[in-house]
Amino acid sequence: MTYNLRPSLRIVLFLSLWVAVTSAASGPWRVGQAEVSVKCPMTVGGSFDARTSALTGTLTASAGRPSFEGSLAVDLRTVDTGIDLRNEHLREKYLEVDKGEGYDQAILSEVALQGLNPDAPTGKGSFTGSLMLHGVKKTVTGPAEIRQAGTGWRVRASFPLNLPDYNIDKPRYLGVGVKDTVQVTVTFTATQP
Amino acid sequence: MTTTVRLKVLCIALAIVGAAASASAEPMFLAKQYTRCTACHYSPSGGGLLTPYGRLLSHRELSTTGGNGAAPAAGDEDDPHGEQAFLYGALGNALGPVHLGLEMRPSHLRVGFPGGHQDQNLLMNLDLIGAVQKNGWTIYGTAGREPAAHGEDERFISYEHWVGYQRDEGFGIRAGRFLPAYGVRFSDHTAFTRAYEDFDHDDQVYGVEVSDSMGPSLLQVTLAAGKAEAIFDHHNAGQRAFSMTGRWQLDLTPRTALIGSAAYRHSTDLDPKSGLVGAAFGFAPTPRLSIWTQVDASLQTRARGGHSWVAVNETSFEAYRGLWLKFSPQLKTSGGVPGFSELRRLLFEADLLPRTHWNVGVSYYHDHNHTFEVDTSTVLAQLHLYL
Repeated sequence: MTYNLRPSLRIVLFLSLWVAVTSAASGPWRVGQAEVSVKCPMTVGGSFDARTSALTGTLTASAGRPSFEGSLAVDLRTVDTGIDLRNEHLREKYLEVDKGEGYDQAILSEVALQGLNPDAPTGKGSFTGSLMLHGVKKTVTGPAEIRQAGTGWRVRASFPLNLPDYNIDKPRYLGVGVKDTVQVTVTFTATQP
Repeated sequence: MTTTVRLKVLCIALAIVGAAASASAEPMFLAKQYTRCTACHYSPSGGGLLTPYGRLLSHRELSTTGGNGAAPAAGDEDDPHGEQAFLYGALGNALGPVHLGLEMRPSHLRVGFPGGHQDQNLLMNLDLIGAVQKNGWTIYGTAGREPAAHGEDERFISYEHWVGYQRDEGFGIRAGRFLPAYGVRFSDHTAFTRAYEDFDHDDQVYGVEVSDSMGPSLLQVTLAAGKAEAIFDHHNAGQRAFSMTGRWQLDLTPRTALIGSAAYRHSTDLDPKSGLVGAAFGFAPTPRLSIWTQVDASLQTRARGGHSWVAVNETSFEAYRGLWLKFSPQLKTSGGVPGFSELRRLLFEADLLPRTHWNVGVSYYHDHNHTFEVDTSTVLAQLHLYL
């Protein structure tokens, strides 16, 4: 059995889809369900994941440019490594979340996409952004993958993060430590309000 | 069942269960995102003395009552004190860079067999273990006594003594007496993948191990002149033979690991040459559950049982903080050679870890010799003192 659509119907369907995609991409996008996972390789081998789902923020595509206004923020007080003492050290000794304003968050802003159409950014590409962490702002970059999920998008991006670049002390405890570079993976759904 | 068969069953059961157990490695802590033995143990192949970090982890994160215990400040390199230190820290800093542990394991064993049972109280372990670690170098040794077995007297033994060097970049080397790395080192030394594959409590070798940790993978290769007990003991001289093992571990995630292993042993006066190849997979779907499975093919000559399979699964569940329940089905095929049995085991175990320095384990083994249709059951209760 074959299915044949009339040319006029094809055009209507294509236009509907295009309008839906482009109009959707141009508005502000709010982060919905999210997970941030930081893979921390240990000096003695192996690794552990530090995770949180406390990612909030809004991104708005800039007209005619492959960049987004707005920012994404991670609540660092909620990062969980699976071990209480490690959580305590991570938050208080290394991230110093109580040190001052802004230390309890990691904020990604000035996000720009490469290799993806900002009007319909489905597929694989890369991104750059400015990450404010531990009082230091640095550019981060890494692969990004965006898929359509219902009426919104599902975004997955990752980037390496070098702890000394952010003036974070080398995590060491009783002879066991975390290596300088950790890998951050961010996954979230984005929907329009 | 004839008296001869009954005696055989009893001897095998006692030999398997009644021998000394080495200090436990605990693959179940994969559930806590620990894929490598060296996070908590000095030995790259696991087991034995805990590092200060391992002791602290045992105290603060694993024991039932240690959750709010004092811990050294973040950033401290080496400050064992209090409950997580040797003898509760009674010696203070008198030992300098030397770390000690005293391991004892008083146990009660009951072996049931058709027509009867036998009870035995025994001290499975009594070992002093010491280690010094500085600038990447580790000197490690144990000294203790081997329980009497097979009518022999108790005797002094040093199960392990070696010198190792570990670079930050991942390359490591050690030489001396140690248990070579192969597959998963289950804490129960009677697990079929240990007891029947020559990785039992006294199967250490004298050799050299080279290792390299590259990102998520770890490669360990051991070249050995033979089993340690055959090197200096002229009674066992006939068992000296070159052996080689290789183990490769890939950490797919912090809670998932894949391991491939191979071993070769040259022939001795008593045994023909033999080989092993196998794979293991461990994953922890939740922070309280870990599941390890190891399957090995034993590539031995027909005189030693032919080609056979050994499979062990160990599923561990933390029912309550510090209370782990284990279930372990195990299988060893006969290889189809007359005189070699197909063995099946079901193991149920409860491990209670109330404090850093002591824990209690109760194990129930149901062993079925499928070839001779003989069942035995063994209950082992252990008080594990780790001072």
